[in-house]
Amino acid sequence: MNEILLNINNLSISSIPEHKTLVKSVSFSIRQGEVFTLIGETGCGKTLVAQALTGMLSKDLSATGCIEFDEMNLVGFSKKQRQKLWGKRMFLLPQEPGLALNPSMRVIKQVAEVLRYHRGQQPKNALKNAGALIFELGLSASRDGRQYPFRLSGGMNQRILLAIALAIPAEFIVADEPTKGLDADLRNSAVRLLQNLVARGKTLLCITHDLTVARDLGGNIAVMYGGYIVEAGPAEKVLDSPVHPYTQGLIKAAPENGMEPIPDHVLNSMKTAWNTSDSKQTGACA
Amino acid sequence: MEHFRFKANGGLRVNYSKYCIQAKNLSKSFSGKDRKKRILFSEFSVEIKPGEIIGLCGPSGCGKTTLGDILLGLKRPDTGKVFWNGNSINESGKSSRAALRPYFQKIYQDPPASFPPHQTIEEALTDVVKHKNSIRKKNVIIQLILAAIKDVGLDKELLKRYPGQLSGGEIQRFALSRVLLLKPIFLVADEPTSRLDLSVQAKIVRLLMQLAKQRRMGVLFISHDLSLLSIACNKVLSFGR
Repeated sequence: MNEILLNINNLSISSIPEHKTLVKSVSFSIRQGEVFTLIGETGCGKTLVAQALTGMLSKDLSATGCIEFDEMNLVGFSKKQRQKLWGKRMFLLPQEPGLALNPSMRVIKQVAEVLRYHRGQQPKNALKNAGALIFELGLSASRDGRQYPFRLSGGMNQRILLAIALAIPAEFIVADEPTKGLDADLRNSAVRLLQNLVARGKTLLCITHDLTVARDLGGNIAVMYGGYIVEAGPAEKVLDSPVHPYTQGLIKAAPENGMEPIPDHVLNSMKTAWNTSDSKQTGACA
Repeated sequence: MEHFRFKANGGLRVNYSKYCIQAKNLSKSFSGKDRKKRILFSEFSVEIKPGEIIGLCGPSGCGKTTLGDILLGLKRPDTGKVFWNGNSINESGKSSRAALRPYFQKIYQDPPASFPPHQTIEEALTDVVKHKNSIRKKNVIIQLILAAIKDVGLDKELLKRYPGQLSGGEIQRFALSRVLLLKPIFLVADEPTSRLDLSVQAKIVRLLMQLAKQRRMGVLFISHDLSLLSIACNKVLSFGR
């Protein structure tokens, strides 16, 4: 067994102005060279977990608990200390390619920049290697690489970001919906690329809504709902024989399984069960 | 009940016996830097009836979004014509096109980029209601907005937030409710559920199907997910490269 690279223990994230807890005592750990996938309700805090561990939480949110990355507790880290990790130890593949890429720079240069400054390659070589990376992802370096992000489609920009993830030397990669906006073929090739990253010894935390991606990536999986992790375990086990009603409902809601949304009374009954247990907990503290 | 009168825009008449949108022999190609022409589609025709949902799928970068933009008059085709409710939008005068404009809407693929970052969601939605219905009463506007966001399963607390403070799925549903507030007669939904979990996706797609029927709204539903389209749509068009 490899060593544990990331250990999240009792992580809670709450919004300061509204005094509302958004992520509720989430715990999981990832071993070096493994894949961990987070799936679950939209708006349940998956992206917040990723932001907390990369240190990109917005100012009106506060995180408590323990995020242990290579034996450093990131929760107490200052902005400067965190920034030292960016690109070198960890990398966030952001959710919105349209907002993440520089709008005034040709995309191939943005990939080359990473190779040049993070890998120390000569400008000429960096540009050549950037072209090769883009080509690996099914884009043409001479045609698509010369474009600005707004001239490319959503899926093409997504692939440029994947090329940057390949170029970066960081060992831990957080991918926030890496296959959104890609068709089935490209999705499979993106999954292969992510698997390739893992095969090269990188550790991957992937956030997705696509159960096929979660299954193909393998590794461990956690299902989040309402700020809690409701179910976790090896991907195949969770997806083939889900135990929690939310996971079961999620699988039934897939278009190929009939696309029936989870009935409101099921969701409400889960929420009321939590509310009573939450109030009990606060009672105990008082 | 073939005719419907709208208050705004000097009493626009929508004729529901006609196709809400028709495209004839559309062609579009791009010329890249290497002077090679890339043909997206040529001699492409499509007709969408009121209440009909047409699905459009195809590989990434094949021109799905561009076709949607051409149908909405946001981009010009190289050849061919687009008809809105029986009127050619390339020939009819600017004024009649402007009158129809609010009823031909689009949900953008990149919802966070389609909301102004320094305006709360409530302000953004209020502007839409004010602009369209010339309603000035605050409580009436709020009622309309609350009804619209309830449909897509969003909480009213979220209205006070800025776009940057919302999750991808929340903002995508706000984009949908903003468009539905305009009561369009034709809607291009460009991957409207890409950031939603499967259960919410199922809810939203079923809502879209129900509204298309109720309001007799034509929809061009762009997605990569063929199994999703085959449930939601009356007909599915597939683009090749």
